[in-house]
Amino acid sequence: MRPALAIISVIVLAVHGVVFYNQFFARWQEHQAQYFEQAAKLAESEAVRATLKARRPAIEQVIVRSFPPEHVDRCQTCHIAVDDPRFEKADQPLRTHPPIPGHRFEAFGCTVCHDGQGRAVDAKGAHEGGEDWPWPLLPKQMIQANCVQCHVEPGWQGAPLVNAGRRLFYERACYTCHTIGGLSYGSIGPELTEEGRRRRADFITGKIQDPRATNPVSTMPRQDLTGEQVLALATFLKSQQGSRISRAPLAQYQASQQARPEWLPLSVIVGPEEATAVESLDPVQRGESLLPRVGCLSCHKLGERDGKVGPELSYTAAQRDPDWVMTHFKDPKSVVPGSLMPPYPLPTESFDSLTKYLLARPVPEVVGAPAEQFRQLCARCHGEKGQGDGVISRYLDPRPRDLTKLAFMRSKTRERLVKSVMEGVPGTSMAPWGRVLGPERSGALVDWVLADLTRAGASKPPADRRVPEANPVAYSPESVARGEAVFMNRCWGCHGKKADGQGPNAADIVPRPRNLRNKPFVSSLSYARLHESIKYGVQGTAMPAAGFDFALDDESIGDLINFVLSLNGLGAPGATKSADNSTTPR
Amino acid sequence: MDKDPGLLENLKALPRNVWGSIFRNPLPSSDLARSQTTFSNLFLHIHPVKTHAHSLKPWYTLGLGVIAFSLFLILTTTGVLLMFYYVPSVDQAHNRMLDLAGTVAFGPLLRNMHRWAAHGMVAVVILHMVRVFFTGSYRAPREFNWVVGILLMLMTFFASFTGYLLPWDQLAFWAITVGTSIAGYAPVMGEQVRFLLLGDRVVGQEALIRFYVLHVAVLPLAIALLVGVHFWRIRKDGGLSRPEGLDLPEAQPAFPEALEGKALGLAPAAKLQRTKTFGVMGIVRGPFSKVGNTPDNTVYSWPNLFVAELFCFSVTVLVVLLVALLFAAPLEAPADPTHPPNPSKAPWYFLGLQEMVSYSAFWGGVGIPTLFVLGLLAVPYLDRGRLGTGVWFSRHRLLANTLFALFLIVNLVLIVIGTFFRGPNWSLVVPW
Repeated sequence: MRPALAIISVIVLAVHGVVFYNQFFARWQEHQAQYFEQAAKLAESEAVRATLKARRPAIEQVIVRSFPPEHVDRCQTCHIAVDDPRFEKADQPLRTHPPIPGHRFEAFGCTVCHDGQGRAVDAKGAHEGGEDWPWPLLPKQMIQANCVQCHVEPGWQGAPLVNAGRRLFYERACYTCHTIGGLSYGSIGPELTEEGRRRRADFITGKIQDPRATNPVSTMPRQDLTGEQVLALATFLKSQQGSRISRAPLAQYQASQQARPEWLPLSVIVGPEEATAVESLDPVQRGESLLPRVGCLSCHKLGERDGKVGPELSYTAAQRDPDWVMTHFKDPKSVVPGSLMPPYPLPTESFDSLTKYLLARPVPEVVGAPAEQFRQLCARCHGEKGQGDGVISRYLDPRPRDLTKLAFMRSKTRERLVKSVMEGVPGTSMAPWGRVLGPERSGALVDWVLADLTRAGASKPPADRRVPEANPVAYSPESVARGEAVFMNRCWGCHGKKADGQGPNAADIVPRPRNLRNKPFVSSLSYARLHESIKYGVQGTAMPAAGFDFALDDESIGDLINFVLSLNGLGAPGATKSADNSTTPR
Repeated sequence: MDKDPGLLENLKALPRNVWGSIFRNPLPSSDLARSQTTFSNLFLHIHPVKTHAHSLKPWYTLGLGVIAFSLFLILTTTGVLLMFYYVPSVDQAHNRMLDLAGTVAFGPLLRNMHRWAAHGMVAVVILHMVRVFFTGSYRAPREFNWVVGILLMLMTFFASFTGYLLPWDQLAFWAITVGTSIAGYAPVMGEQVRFLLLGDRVVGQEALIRFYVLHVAVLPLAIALLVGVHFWRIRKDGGLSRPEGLDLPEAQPAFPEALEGKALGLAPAAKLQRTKTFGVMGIVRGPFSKVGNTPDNTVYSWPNLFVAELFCFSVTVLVVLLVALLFAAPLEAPADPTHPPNPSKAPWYFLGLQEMVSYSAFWGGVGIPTLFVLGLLAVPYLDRGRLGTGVWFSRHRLLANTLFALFLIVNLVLIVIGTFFRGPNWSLVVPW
């Protein structure tokens, strides 16, 4: 035991040696010694030289009280030459800081502008601040984010990057989903008022570049931005730090107390001067001028510009009427329930001029063979090969149909497919192409799809299906209740207990189960088609032939359809309201 | 000696006299001197003059009690030094941590040592309990010392838990928020207990000052007092546990070396020479005096016991030093009551509780832990057997040991799940 004790004691002693060495031979002492030596060489007089020679390393610090909360900056312990102009070409940490008029080190310290952890005296601790430190050294190219903490006047010329980022915040429609106190009132995404105080610069940059990197279920569309644009937007967001330093607390409080307005004035979105200029234009021109600036093209495609998130707008004039476009502007989900598009916080006049512009815009001519037409009109959603995987497909709900699915495509009559092309599918992103293509070219396009993409051979619509034209069961609360019982027994596993297509099995099923609360879609279907889909199933999808697999007779299917209608407020007049109450989803 | 020594002689003898006045005995070289050294020194006299050879077997105790006490000493020392820099104020606490982690002389080392020694003490105290259980040492006459030990373990948890809040970073703030809300699940008194603990409905300045006072004054004093009781009772209960019948004549060959003291470099044990003398220290109950009538398997505590203890202490200091040099104690962003991290986790030794709370707030947070503690306290009163005491994993104690092992495994599994397999919203995640 005694030799072991002796060995341990020696080791403990040796470790103490390491401890003392770490304490008394720190890197900052080397840096200071190096500085004293070099400065002594450059010294002009013997007296200065002697003073420098006599100096011993000591911790240098600035306590900044002018910009609360108090900062304690010991950065100059290593960066001891920041205010010594002779060290302009020296290597860090001994380089001179470029002078900024009016900014004295004694008054400002370092971390007010640069962030970092000012109390540390080791490089890693000071620059990175250790695990989860929210304010590591701000990347040099984003430094303007901190300039505007004090230079708060809007559009301050010294921070062009922040101003550019602010423009992008509106141009890229960020403001429609996110709230930044005083600047926007979106409620779909997280609030960003204090984003710059809470998040590191690299997190913000990463989130803009790939919204799903840190949150795989994020619905934020990925934006097509250049490196410079990412930097500008990230710098602008990093500058959103609430009242971290000097933003007047009263202004901050007032901004937070403001009721959420119904719409944002144009002067906030495009700036006051531009807003006046835009408002002097006639409605169509005003719409043209607003369209790229309020964020439409960060998602939609118009002409050459493509945000690669939402449907193309070039053909709107031949597809929609003014009512539809206006309704869609005010509440996109009322016409396409699965739409990702947020309701726009714009004044009605702006919607009006945007609508006028979209409907006045000449529709591009569609030329070429069906293959060429398909690429021009359909591939953006349905994909180059018609597999339903176009560039914007992941943002659409329901997803675009997979046109190569043989079982589905063959079970539909040509007439129905042509009708879908010409009239569109209400409640979904499938627009009516009838006025763009005309009946002949629509038919030719369907034929080409069947022959070249589906490779279906002859269409084989199933024969001998017996489907009643009208509901055999009258709409009544009892019928709805019976229908609900059947639904909760047979259907909810895929369609979900709320009948919104989000049942527990839905995630594994392609195409996804229908959202049966999609009112525009449900109301566009004939009774017979609903009945047929339930009774005989939908070929090429997971929808089974419930009339046979579950032995549902026509009356039960009628009940079921009454239940689905009741969910959408589509029952018989008078019965609708009470039916709605009795079928509150669980 | 007809004349007092003169000043000159006194001056000459000064070093020797000063030394002799401090250390009453020279380094002992005889058994009598060994006894007197142990007996007349404040720091040593809590030990018996002679220790049973069985108690000195390293693989029997693993030194866990001494290690736990060593960690307590390290924590007290580093803690007092840290108190010179720490301010229990929500405005200053985190900044003081940053200073300690960077600028204060030896600050990082002190902070790291204190942090890691605290985690270590919790772990070692638990291991110490495990050792005592698996060797059946809690049995009569040591029942109450087991109870004292359980209380000490609970106080160790609480001391560590109160210290957790003091850095006032996100980790601290949310761990304490989670930990104290577990207390809130207790029936009837839950909310009141939580309010008493926090001095408020949320963790804030009141909680910080309360936790600080508990951490630096109340709990250390209480622990020190109970440790004194714990040590005192070891002696009064007859030293460390050992198998019954170990000292009967037929069991002697088991420890021939100890008996003769050869392996330990001592003179042959006193018994053989019959040179012991005794003074009457008290009236002993029973029909006859045990003195001289029982075989003696003891060896002198000086140096055998003291060297072993010093060894344990030195190893503990070394490990804590090395860990503190290699791993920085965590320090997260300043506490921000408006932005909880997801998930917020309690300290590791409470993660088993938190895991259970995720199934049922009352049963996981209060019901089952209370049953655990009551069960542990009742153990020595339920197990009144005599066979198998003083031996690791004795076959006679198969049932008790199996139940206890099960109890340990369940807790360990819960802690491991809570620590590594729980992600945002307390959903199951795979850590690799």
